[in-house]
Amino acid sequence: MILSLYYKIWVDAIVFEKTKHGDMRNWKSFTLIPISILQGINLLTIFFWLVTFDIKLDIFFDFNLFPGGMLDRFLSGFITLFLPFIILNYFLIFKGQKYDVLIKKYKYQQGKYYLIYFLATILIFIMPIVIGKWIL
Amino acid sequence: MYNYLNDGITIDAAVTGVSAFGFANEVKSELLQLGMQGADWGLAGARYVKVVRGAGIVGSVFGMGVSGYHIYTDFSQDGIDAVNGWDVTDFGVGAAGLGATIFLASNPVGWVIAGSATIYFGARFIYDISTKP
Repeated sequence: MILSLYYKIWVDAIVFEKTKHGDMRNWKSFTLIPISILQGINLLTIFFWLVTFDIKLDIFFDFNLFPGGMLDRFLSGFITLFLPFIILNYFLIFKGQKYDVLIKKYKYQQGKYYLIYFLATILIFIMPIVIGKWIL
Repeated sequence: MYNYLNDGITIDAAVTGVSAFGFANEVKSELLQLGMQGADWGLAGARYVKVVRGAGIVGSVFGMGVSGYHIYTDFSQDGIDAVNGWDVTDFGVGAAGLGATIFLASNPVGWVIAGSATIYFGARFIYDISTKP
């Protein structure tokens, strides 16, 4: 069920990117990176909700390599949240051109699944923070 | 109203931040001017737009990675009140930039949003480097 939804979103994203912007940029990197970011946010949302149940996990690696703090934190966030999904998605979707099989198997939804997934991911993460901090 | 001064941001730092925004905006203007110097504005413009589209996703990854780190660590240590307003703003800007890069890449509105997000994170980065050794 979840794996099927995952593939449906991927097919929607790939065909959307190919048909809308395929002539102007590399569709592989412009689907792999955005979806990996969104999955990283999904993971962050899960950890965020675990904290509300008092399950606090130290998920980030701490670095002190660069001047300032932003690059260190970016590196930490990138390794914890995005890199695992880039690798996972590469092996599940791109290796051996599996996307060709998936595109034949699942129907293209005109980018609707992709858009819903994007909006749901952002809102499910950000809304509780905004409500908890500024409204309640 | 949320008071950013409580987060240790001084007036001097705010001035530095404004200067950083000015610098980043100047870089964008210089890039535009450089493109327009050639006789073929269409080609230069297309190149500029290509850079902005590519930079949009870089800015979004950077901003969301950093703000995600901050939001989670602040929340897990001291609860919802410890989450910094700047980080929530950064996350929102990163999300807007990502959305524009994905769904509005062939639209000038999308180029402006993605380009602005990149400039915003560029300025935040310059601010960070200039205020914290």
